[in-house]
Amino acid sequence: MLHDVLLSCLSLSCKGIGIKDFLSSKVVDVFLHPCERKIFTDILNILNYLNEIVRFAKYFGGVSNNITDFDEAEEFAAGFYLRNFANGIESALEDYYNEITLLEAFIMKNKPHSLIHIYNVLEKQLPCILFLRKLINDAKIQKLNGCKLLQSLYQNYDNGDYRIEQILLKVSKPVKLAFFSHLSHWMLFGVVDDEYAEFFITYRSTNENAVNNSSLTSSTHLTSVSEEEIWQYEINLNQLPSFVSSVLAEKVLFVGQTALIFKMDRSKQQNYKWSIKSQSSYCDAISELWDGKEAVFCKMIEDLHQEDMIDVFQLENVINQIKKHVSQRLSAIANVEDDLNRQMCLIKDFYLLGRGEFYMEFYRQLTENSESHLESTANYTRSFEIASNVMGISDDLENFSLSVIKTSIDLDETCEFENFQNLHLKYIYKWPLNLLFSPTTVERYNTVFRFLLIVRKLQYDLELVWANHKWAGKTPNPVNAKIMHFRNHLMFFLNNLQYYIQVDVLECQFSILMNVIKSKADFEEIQRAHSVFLANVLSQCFLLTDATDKKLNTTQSTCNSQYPVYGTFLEIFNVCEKFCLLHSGQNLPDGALKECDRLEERFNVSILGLIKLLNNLRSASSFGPLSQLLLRLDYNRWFSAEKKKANESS
Amino acid sequence: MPSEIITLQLGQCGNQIGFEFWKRLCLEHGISPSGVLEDFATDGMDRKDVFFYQADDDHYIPRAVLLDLEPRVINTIMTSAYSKLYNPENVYLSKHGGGAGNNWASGYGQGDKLQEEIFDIIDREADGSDSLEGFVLCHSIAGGTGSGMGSFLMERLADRYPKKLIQTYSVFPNQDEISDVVVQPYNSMLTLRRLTTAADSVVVLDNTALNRIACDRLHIQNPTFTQINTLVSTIMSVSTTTLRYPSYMNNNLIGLTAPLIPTPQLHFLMTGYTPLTSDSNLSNNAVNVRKTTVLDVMRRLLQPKNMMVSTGPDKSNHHCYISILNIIQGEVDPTQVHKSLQRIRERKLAQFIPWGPTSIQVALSRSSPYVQSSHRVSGLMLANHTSICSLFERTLSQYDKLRKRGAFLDQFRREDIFKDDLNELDESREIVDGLVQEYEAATRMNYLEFSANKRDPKVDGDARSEEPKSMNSVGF
Repeated sequence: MLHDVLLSCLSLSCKGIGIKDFLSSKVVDVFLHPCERKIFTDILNILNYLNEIVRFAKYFGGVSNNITDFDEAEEFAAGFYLRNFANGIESALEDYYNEITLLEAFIMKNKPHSLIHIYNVLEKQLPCILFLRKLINDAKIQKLNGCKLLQSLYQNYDNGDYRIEQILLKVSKPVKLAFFSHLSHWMLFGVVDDEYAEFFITYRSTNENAVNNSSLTSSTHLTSVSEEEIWQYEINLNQLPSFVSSVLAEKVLFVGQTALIFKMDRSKQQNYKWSIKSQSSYCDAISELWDGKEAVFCKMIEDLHQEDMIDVFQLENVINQIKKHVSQRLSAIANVEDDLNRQMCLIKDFYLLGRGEFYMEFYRQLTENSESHLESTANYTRSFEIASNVMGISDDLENFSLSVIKTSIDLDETCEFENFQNLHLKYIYKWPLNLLFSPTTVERYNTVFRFLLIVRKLQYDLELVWANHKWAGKTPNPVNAKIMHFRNHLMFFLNNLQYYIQVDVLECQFSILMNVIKSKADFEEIQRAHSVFLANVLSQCFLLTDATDKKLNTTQSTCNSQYPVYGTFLEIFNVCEKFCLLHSGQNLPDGALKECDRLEERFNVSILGLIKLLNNLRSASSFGPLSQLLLRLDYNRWFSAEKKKANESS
Repeated sequence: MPSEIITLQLGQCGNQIGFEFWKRLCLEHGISPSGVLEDFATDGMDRKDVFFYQADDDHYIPRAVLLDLEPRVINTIMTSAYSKLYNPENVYLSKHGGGAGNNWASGYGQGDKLQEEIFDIIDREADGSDSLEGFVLCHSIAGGTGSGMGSFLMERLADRYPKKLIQTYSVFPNQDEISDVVVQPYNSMLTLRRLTTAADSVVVLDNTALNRIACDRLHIQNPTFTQINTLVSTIMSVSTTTLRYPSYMNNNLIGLTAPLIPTPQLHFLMTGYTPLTSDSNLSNNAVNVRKTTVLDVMRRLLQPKNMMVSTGPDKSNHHCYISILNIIQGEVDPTQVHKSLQRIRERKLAQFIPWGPTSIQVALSRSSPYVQSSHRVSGLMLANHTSICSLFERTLSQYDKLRKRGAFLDQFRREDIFKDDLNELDESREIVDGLVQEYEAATRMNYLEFSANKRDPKVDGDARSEEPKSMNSVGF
């Protein structure tokens, strides 16, 4: 009978049915002493716990999948980590099995033995069994999977009990293996083979057919990666274990994306010269990145896995080392193969209108061609090309192309400058710079670009009006002085707004960025500096609006919208355009003076509102850019004097 | 290449400063004296085409027209190393070579006679450009050719090219020393009239101030013409630097001048440049001046002693800036610009007009990589300041003295324009006086009313010398 008990201790697949039945029948009373009956029940309890654990382990660990009817399976979140977890539990039970085997041998040798002896042995194992059961229950209740599971195990470290710690190590070992294999796949090859979304970096497809794509990329590692895919990898915060900080996760993401970029099919992107080169070197494109060090890094990650526990510092250290190598490699390549400085200057020249003379020619072509019957959308593109030819800078512009994209926003048809909101400047960057130009970055550049384009266009128009007024001054019919003064005010506003943007914002931020590029060999820091640069430019140009708000502002044109400064700008732009339109003909139309008065009224309201707003905001917070703009606009305190006057009269 | 500019150099002075200007441009753009692009300058990020046109791949020719009535200066140019630079067809010397005898009327009359030949050259140049933006005229206002023929040309250009800008670099005579040209006040007055009515912007180069600066700032006892002209060429080249090394703004002549000139008449610009060093004291002081900052430069530019126009003491202290454009070159930390602007405003270093918004515009400009500057930062100021009218007032008073005596009028009467009467002189005086009035009015709060009202008397053919104060009633 003792042997029966022992047997059921070992082979748990039979669910201990025999013993249960045995217990319910009267036979027990015959064979067992009443006090042994209690012990027997306790043993059965322990065996039941054990049963639960083993059934879990067998079901999910399933090497020999002999348990098919695990009815609680639904309650667990399936996944690779869970399977490894089950395997870990299985291996943790090894100790226990050994103990039982020893016990069996012992009992075989020494015949007279009591049930209490078995109980003693089993009881020793009880804490471990309970602990394993707790782990399983945790996973069940919280539906843990993936990195979260590892996280839960990690939290149980430092338990204080040596034996439990040993068990935990055994349990977490396979789970760690899953984690580190994910990590090394991603970091070294840019692959996430993760159908249960368990890793903290996930692939998020943005379009329909990308669903196929994602499975495709995971299965065929060697095919090339398309541009958009790089940006569809994101950090999944739900799966981010607490021992990986978000900064560290960013680094991991960066390294993987870099690897992806090296896997990109460069021949598509590059010109002919490049494609020849990349064809020959395509196969070892990724070894170009690792420079023969992938084995070293792979070993490093493996070593991490060999550690008993997850050593956070060591992990961080390894990731940092890999990141450092990658980013140094990247900046070496970026600097050698295409001068990063030059690329950034091109960006500044064309996205940020650094080449004013080119855009001036662009406007000139635009005005000239607008008389021809070209459709307006084609006109922009054509003027852009003509201007680049005329200025003889088509070499610089070979990677830029301007296109008109119809946005979903209904633009205010009455303002011509709103057409510029549809323009999109595309830049084909050279290959390793992909990391700097995510689609969001390009869109942000375009936001600034469109804004600057509008300001510059209005300024150009006003300058033409100035010239006309100037020449009219030589004739017997000079322009009304009042109109000229109003023109001066408009021009003053636009000029100073532009000086503010170009000098106080763009030049300053750009020099900070360039200093980083000059001083740092580390690509990731450049990347960070670059996004800081863009963010600052956008916020200091008061452009941090999203599409819906933009619509709100243009249609309502009021100052009380959510972005008052930008709204006021648009209102003044509107006034400028109306004013220029009024003066586009040879002679002033009838009633022009009255119209000018009306426009001046609108302008005055707007600008005084703006000054007031800037003043208020400035006193409310120490937001630097506002006071810079205010200083330029109100340099001789004219507008503040006007404001005072307006206040007094009202 | 659009926005081209044709340079016209007239007379002895005009050709001299023009010559220095082109020397300087060649240096900055890496063009050899014979017009060939140097090897080191082939991939420049500059715009040579504004002032030069390309004959072939590496051969550049200035868009310059050289005009004189006497051969001396042009001969010097044509025998110098730069003789091959210019298009020989663009050099025009009168056949008699007798000059204009420092007589405005003679220059004007000869201009009239020679206009066909001269405009053949100018029209050809204008046709050769994609979209000509304007003309730059270099001349002095005191002599005969530059002033007289220059006046005639300005009038004809304004007529013939009504949609082109006419900018002049006009050298005003040194009023500290007695001129050997006795009719200088007449010449100046007559030229000033054309500068007021026909030109679009006038950069005033005052020989009085240039000499003073050479003495005081550069410590040259008796500055030679060459030394003065070097100063002038610096100003001319830096003031065109935003056209030649374009950046975000001010890349054409309109964009450069429009913010400076609020109303058509107020188009006389002063310049200032700092830091100044001559070759001789460069070696000694280089260490001291090298540490210039943006604030230093901007502050010094506002000091009258650095202005290239001598305006005389402003007793009532009422003159003010109408507009300022600072072109800053060198290693500039852009954050410094805002701080400097703030500091200047705090310390009230500049006084501005009361009738409109204005500010110091600061353009950060690239500069030529081929010319080594001894300074970290240098700057040029282009300013529209009301005190420039004191220069015209001095001319007026000198003119009045001479005119009262009726002195030296005979040589004027000999010319066609003065054959019947001397109305031309009187009209010129009225117009220049009107200009002074306008600048005076621009110092006052009610300038808007002044400029709104003054049109009426002019249309009636009446003198514009009425007191602006009597026009307080507004009537459009």
